Amino acid sequence: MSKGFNWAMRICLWIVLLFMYIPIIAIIGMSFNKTSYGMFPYVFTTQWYRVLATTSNLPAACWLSIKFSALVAVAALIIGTMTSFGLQYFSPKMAKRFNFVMQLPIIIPWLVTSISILLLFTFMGSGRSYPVMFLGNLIVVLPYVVMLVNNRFVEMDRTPEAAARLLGAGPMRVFCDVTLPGIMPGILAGGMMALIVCFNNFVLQYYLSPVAVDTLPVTVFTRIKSGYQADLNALSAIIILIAVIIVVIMTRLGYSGGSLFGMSSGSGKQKGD
Amino acid sequence: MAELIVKDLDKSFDQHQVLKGISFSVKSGDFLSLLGPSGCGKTTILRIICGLETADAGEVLVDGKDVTKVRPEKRDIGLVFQNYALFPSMNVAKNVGYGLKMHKVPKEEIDRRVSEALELVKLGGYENRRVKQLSGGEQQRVALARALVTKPRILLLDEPLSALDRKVRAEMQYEIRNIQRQVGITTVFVTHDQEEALTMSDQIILLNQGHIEQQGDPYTIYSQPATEFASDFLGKANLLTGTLTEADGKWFVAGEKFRIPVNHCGGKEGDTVKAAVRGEYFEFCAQGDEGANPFHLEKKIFTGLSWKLIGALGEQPVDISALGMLADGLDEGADLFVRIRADNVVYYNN
Repeated sequence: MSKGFNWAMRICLWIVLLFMYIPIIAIIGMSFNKTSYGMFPYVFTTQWYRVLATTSNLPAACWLSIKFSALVAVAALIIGTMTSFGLQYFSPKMAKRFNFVMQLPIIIPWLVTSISILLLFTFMGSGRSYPVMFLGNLIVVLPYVVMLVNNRFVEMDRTPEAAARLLGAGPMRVFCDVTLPGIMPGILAGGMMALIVCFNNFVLQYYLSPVAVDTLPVTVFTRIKSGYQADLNALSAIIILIAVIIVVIMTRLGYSGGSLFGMSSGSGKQKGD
Repeated sequence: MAELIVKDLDKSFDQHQVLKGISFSVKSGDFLSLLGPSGCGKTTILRIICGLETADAGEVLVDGKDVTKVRPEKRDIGLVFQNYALFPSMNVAKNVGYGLKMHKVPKEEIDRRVSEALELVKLGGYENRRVKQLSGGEQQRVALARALVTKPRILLLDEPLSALDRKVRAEMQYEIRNIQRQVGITTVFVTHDQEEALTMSDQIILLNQGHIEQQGDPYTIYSQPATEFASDFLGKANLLTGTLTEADGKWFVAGEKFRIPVNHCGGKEGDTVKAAVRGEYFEFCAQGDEGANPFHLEKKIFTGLSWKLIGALGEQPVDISALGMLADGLDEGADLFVRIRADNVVYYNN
């Protein structure tokens, strides 16, 4: 390929990367700026972090969102892992059909899902409440867990489980000693995905959260409509930092994003090519 | 040490019947091979014996006790898998000691028996290695140690050598047999490699499409194949079509320009039969010698150990294998004479 083409491609790559990361970098910068709306002159201050730590309503909402997402993720992991485990005993034809049904909640717009749930529960007389919000979020994240764990089941060698069986381990022991370590990357990936999707899920929480209970996405939405303050930038910067730390730790532990989600990472070039 | 009896096993997958009334027994301490082409049901038999698969009908008896309904973890039968099936999350010692841990053996005894088992498979000192660091041959040894350390009553080997390269395979054949004799464990070995079965076994069962073609010791199976399939599967015998004839109380299979002696085992004079003769049982002789048949040598192929001589006995194609000292001097296109002893010929009346 020509040199000029190569250079053009390289420049394109950098433009895309810049486009992806400039907003993230900008918000970190702005969290240390004195004015709220990202205007110049840039005056360094840590006052927004102080606001965040004292008067802001964001930490409470954030903490609620974390607790809620964790609860949803744990429930999704337990149900999802059991579902994928059971799915392995289906005939290939049935498994395919089941997968199709299972994946629908990802494809159906969340807007539709949330309105249907709201309608159903209003009809049943309960309306917006914690259990309804919990169920709604669970429905949406469950397919991710099932898909990611199922992916591990399909990829991994199942004969060690038979071997453990013949060495005297009962079905429960086999699951804990052999199956679980094998599907662990899928469970980690599924758990992460469930946590993030739920933490983010404005649509479902906006429609289903109990009255006067605001999760972080809902709070942020209200704040942007009325009374934007840069403590939001400070919170964003902290969340970004935590996300970076998690990715670094996962990579150190040998779980790169690609290996977890069953996709390849790195370049297609092999050593020695 | 235990005696294994398998009775009338039937098994179907969907509409396809893979086992049709399989029955056999293995004497305590014997080494039995189930030999057959892929899809003949040999692995299914193994999986039924250890309980990973359920038979539609029939039973499995260990030392006279019916274990057909016993769950696999209670059967006390060891299995070595083709792909080793080691636990990737555990090191070598944990892998080998897993069965002992399941049987609630005290920790010190586990450590001791694991070292012993690793010594037995010549992997002493490998306790703390990670499974992924081992070569294929080493992994298979670990799998063997893991299966033997709990002292199961019966050892099953499911094509344990087919993933190894030729040299390691030969070494492991010898070693598995050696260890099996040392431990004295009743063993069932599944393979599609006839050479492997012949080298290692006390008894061989030849399977084809879900039924037993022949059972016997390696020499009998090889030299007296009971069916056409057996003669073809074990080292490809020559099949010669001819007429059964009797002369002076001796029996022959005769065809166009050839006549070979046979031991009479059924059939009457004039029947059309197929005689199976292995290539290495032909002997070169001179014209006019007793039993001499004309052989036209068409092509010579060097295979290392011997020459493969492709030609025709009378009108029918025949492959003869001959050692270098006999065949080095022969030219392609030569007309020669060969003979064969009746003991080395079998015929099938059909």
